[in-house]
Amino acid sequence: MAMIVKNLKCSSCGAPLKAKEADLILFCTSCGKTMEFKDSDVGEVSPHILAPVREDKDLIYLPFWGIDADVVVMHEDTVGGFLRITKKPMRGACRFYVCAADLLPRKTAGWNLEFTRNFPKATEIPDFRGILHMPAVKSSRTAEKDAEFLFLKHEIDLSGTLQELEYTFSILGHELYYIPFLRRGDDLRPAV
Amino acid sequence: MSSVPNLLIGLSCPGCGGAVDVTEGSRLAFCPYCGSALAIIADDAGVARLMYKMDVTETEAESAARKWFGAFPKARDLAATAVITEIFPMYLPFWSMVGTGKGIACGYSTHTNKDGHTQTTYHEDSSDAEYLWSVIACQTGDLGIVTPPELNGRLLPYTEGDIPVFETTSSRDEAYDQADTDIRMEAHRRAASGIETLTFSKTFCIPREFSLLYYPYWIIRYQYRERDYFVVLDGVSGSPVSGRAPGDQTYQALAAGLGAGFGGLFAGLGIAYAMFSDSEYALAGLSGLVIGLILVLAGYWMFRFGSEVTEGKLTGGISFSMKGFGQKTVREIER
Ligand SMILES: [Zn+2]
Repeated sequence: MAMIVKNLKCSSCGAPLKAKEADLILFCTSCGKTMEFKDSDVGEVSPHILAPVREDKDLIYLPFWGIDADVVVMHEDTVGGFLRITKKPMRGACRFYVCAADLLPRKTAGWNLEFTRNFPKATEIPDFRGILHMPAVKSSRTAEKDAEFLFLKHEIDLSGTLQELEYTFSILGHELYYIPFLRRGDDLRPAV
Repeated sequence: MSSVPNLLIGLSCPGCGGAVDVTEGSRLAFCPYCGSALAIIADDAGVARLMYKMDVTETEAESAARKWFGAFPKARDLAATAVITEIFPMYLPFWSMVGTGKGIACGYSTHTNKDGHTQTTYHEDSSDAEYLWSVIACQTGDLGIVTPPELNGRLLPYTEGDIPVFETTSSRDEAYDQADTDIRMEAHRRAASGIETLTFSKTFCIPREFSLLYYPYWIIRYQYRERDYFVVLDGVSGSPVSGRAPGDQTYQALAAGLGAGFGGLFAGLGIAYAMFSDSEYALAGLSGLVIGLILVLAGYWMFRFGSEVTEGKLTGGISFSMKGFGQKTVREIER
């Protein structure tokens, strides 16, 4: 009845995977591929690493899941409000960004909404360039629920007061992003 | 409000044999010596079984019990005359989940203005927080410990047979579903507060860790004037969580006497007021009568049940401790 411990191996080249801390994202030192830990094994993912706006000794990368979903709204009833010009409703194929680092919702909720509404236009770079990155503790599968909540959160943030909503939310896929942040004490701010 | 418990357990690396620290409930770990990434595969039921380290020694438990014997309003000679008949460690299982609860609630509330017009206010609200959910996983019989302890202390992997435990009587799936429901309900309660009529709502529970935790206690059985009593102490903090003790006959008699005395006085004054004053004061007289009757009843209740003092969630007896009351199984995590 005790717990069993198993060595994890790269799904691409078979080399044993190494880690410095418990991180759902593992980097193979042998072939350079990136692996996502799922349940008891690993599968390959391609990370998108964004370049920071400027170099700084306090930079740190935070992992985010980019969840793709198809949003279909069958019925909606809203009271009051003006034309939805500044914030547009999300319909059809949409991308939702969910922070995967070990931080409380209080901290991550704002970034998730901000990136989902307006993802930073930054160039992608092939590696972290020696900048530290936070471990991912949220799996891509659990991030799907966060994505659906983000859709609803965006809906109620729109002009007018939402009263009724009938919708379907189908997952299309996911991508991994590393976004640079500036860390000053406990404070974290996007650096893109 | 609760902080994230210290969630470290020890396992050994299959590669180099080094001690591996694992975050409780996590399926992934790494070896600090050889750096190997490791998958943790839990037992058949897919539940990580962990235990908290007993911090209180038998000697410390005994002196804590003696201190409890001497505390008001127990029999005044209890500390001097109680005979401890049994003292033993016992671990009780608790199901525990750490997860995020999210809720969306839409609807409206109506209220009537001074001029008789009905006004409708529309609401759209949300909640988003991390919670620690826990509930006892066994039957405790006469011990009465039902409230999950503050989960702190050092966590170790649990091996069957190593420690005395109460058998787990609830199923993993039931507990998991209950955790999911309770966290969602809390998320909904927060999002929907102040909304009279709901028109749309949706909740999510995103679990991070789910485990069976064994928490240590000291069970102390003792006799006083040839009657059996007990007290249960928290094995990490040493404080009493549940127990029965004889009450003090002096306090008991005093309470009954004061209750009847003051009760009678109020009731008498009340009747006098009601009979000899204007109708305006008759009402005040009647309330005096009611207060009097309540005091008489309270005095009787002290007399009737005051022979026993209880700690924690037990029936009968007078409980002066609020421990275990009003504590919910879902607590928000702050860090
Ligand atoms: Zn590889």
